[in-house]
Amino acid sequence: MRSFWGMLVVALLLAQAACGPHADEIQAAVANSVARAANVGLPALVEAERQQGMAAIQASPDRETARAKLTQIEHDWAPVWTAWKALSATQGAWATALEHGGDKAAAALAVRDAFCRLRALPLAASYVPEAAGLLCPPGGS
Amino acid sequence: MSDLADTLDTAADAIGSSPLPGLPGAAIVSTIAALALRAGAAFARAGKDPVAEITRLHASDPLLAQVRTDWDAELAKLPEKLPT
Repeated sequence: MRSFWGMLVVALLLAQAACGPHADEIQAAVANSVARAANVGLPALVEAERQQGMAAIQASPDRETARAKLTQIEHDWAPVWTAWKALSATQGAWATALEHGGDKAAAALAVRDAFCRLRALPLAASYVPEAAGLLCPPGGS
Repeated sequence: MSDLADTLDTAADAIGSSPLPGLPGAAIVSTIAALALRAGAAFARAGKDPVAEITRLHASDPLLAQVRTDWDAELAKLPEKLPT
């Protein structure tokens, strides 16, 4: 009987350790939340640029005109993909810090800044939702 | 955190497979404890695994390459330049 309750106490302590507010677990959960929010927006972002390009081509009388419009569309979207790559790089650095050690706080701040810069872009804001556990200041990072 | 998840799973297996005999309600308590441990293990694994989502962040490159391919296919339907 005593050993059963002993096992139960150990079980509950282990469960508590798994669910408790351990700093690394919170960081990992927020990292996951940020990546998930960004990934929710990715297909819509890509499709929005694709549709803009297709519409521009279909409204053009020839390839030369269409290419000029596509160049402008790519120029308009370039900040979004630059911000995306920055987010991807900082997320990778954060994951490495969480898994293998490193300056986790600095990595977390870099991810926050990159995510908030992405969401501050008008083209991206409507497609990339807020990330749970991460607040962006007004106007981006 | 992976070690923690494995430990919780192992503990859940132990408790779930060997409830103490002869104790009223022991099987139910063991089942509840095992479920709690499995939930803890699942949480630990989910929290540990931002890598799966982060890996998907890199999927933008092939998606954007496909957009350019689609554009090229649509461009091919147009004349190079209208005669003036």
